[in-house]
Amino acid sequence: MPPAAGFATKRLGKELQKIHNSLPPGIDLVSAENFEEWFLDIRVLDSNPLYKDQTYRLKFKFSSSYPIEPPEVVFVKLPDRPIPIHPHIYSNGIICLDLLGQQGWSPVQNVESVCMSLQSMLTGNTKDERPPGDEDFVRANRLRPKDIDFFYHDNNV
Amino acid sequence: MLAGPRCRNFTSLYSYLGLSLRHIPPDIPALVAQCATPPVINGRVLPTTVHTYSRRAHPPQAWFPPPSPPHNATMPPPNTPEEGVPTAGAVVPAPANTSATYILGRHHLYPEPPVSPPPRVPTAPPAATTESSRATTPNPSRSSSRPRSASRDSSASCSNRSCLLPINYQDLHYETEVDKSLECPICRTPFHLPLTTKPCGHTFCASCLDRALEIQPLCPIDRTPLDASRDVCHTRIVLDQLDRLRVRCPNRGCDYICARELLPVHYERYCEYTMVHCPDPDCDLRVARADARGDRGCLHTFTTCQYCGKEVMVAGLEEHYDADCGGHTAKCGHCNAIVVRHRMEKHTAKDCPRTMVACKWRPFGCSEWAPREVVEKHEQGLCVYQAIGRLARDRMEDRMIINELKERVSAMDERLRKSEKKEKNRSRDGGGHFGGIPSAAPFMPDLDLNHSPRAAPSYNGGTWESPEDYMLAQFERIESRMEDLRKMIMELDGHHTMRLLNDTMRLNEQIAELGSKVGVLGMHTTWLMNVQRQSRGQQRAGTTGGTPGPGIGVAGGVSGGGGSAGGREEEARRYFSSSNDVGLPLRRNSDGRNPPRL
Repeated sequence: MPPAAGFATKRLGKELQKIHNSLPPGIDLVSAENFEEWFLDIRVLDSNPLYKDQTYRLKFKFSSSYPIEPPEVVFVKLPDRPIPIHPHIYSNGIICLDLLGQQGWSPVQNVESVCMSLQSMLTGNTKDERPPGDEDFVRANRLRPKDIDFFYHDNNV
Repeated sequence: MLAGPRCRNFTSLYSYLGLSLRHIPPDIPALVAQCATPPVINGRVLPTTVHTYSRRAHPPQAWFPPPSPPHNATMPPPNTPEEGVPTAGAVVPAPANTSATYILGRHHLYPEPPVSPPPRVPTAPPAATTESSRATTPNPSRSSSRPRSASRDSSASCSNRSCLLPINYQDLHYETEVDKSLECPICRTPFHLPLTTKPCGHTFCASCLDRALEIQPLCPIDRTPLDASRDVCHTRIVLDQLDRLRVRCPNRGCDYICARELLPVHYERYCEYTMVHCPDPDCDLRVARADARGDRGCLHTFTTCQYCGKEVMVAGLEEHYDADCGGHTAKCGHCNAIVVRHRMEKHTAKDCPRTMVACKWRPFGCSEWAPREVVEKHEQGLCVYQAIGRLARDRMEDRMIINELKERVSAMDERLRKSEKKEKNRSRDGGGHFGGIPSAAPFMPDLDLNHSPRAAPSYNGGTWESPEDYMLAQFERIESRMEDLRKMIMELDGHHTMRLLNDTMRLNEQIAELGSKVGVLGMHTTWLMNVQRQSRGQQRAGTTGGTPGPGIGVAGGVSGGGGSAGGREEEARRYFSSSNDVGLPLRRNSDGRNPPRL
């Protein structure tokens, strides 16, 4: 067990308290029953036709080293919660965003800031497409998102 | 070992993306290299505290040629050039300045300066602290910082039985609203041991920053590259603000609220709820300080709960009653409220609204006897004995104060009488012996250290409630005295260093001067020798006349055999040439004749 297993719990407790008090528009907490897995809903607020009137479900998985290590964030597919179409989001919900990788993550980020980053990533998108090689990846990938080495090449997101 | 699968995965992903290799930008080899050496995170128990505290032990490079003991290094010599001071002063807060402010909290802020660890090798990269290198190079700073890490790391075991569990600053409950700017952006609690980054000025808890820098040596907020050992400093204003925050004592059951800087003293010395080691030396568990006192012995034996029959530890009995006791509640016979059983007595005595009680002014004549709720109303307005009751109560309080003062006066009288008697005895025994010992000595001769320049506080004036108080005061006094002495020693050390430096500097200068003189002399000698040699050569050329030069002349003589010279001359020449085989120039004979030549 890492040196301070309670560290993540305490920090998440603080975040949860803050989330219960207020959340930015377009972000809603769905469930946070423990300090390992949370579900949040996000919506894109402007009139981007790609995501208009849609709500997407995000799953956060925290390791005991959070916030030193990034959480694992993926979109979840449910009957009323599709996977948003985006050139950096695979159709199985895995997100290719440097912020969520080991190198791009910073411990000052939090659940709220990650949600807002994803919101803005969707808002700024105009391409109605999946990442190249999406089908192959979705079929072949058995790794968890944090074990995949993405190559972050697109600076326009 | 991770390199293979990771890299393969990386390239395969690339092929998933349907991109050919010429799309790969030039920095791809660097990326692959990163894959090959993934940052080690899990299973790495780095002693973060070592980072934190050894920082202050870094002496600024080369103050003084021989490495002085680490503690001395914390005080710069008086004439350190100004540009050296910011680094030194910022990274290494000189105890001389801080002790005044943080003397109470120093166990936590700057724990025990005298045992500050030797400087960590600053160039050691964080990656070098892996298992293997730790095993091969025992780091002295780690072992010496052990007590400190114990004071911060709750999981650290403690061999000393008198040591307490450390205060967890991230769990503290703050009574006042804490400004958001005083919260660490990593743990989101008010800073504990705040460190500010020098290049970008962001502040974090020391432990949080250390954890973050282990992963990436960048500022977590703006990704400025940081060196954990150099680029951070304490910020006094932040420390001061944090010290003033009002916190509640972290011990369960304790309601004490104080400024945060005073919390360690309360927690370590006074709080009755602090968990201390069990008085039984064979027991490794902890018990509240209040329970450890007295002769109740080890409370970690099991007993049977009187209500539910469960086996419960004696120390945890109260908690058991309050929380998980099976038959723990009962109905109050008067008011039908559900009450925890062992609180029933308290309930009937204090809370139950239906229990029959008397008016609180009963001793002064009121005869009211009714259920509590009625009596409370009666006491609030109706009772006519209120006025006289208050008066009587005030009088009783006065009487108590008078009694206490009387007792105190008599105690002081007693003390005075005793001291007079001792004084008399001493002077009768022959004052010559003890003339030098100050008058405070008879009270605590073994504890009085009257070497301080300050006047020793007299014990005669103070009255102590109990021996513990007295000893505590003594202890604190000695502690402050120690602090003074420590400061003085450090000052002295600085002076010495200075003087030594001055003296050696003069000596060094003289040595250098002498050296240069010797050099000049040497040059003169060689010059003179050269001049002599030259003049000799000219002279020789003059005497040999027609021969082209001395060397050639000799060689020609040898090859030419006897020539015109006689046998005697030949012998002499051989003699001189044999004595001259080391190559010295030929000398004149002692009788002043020229050496024989061809």
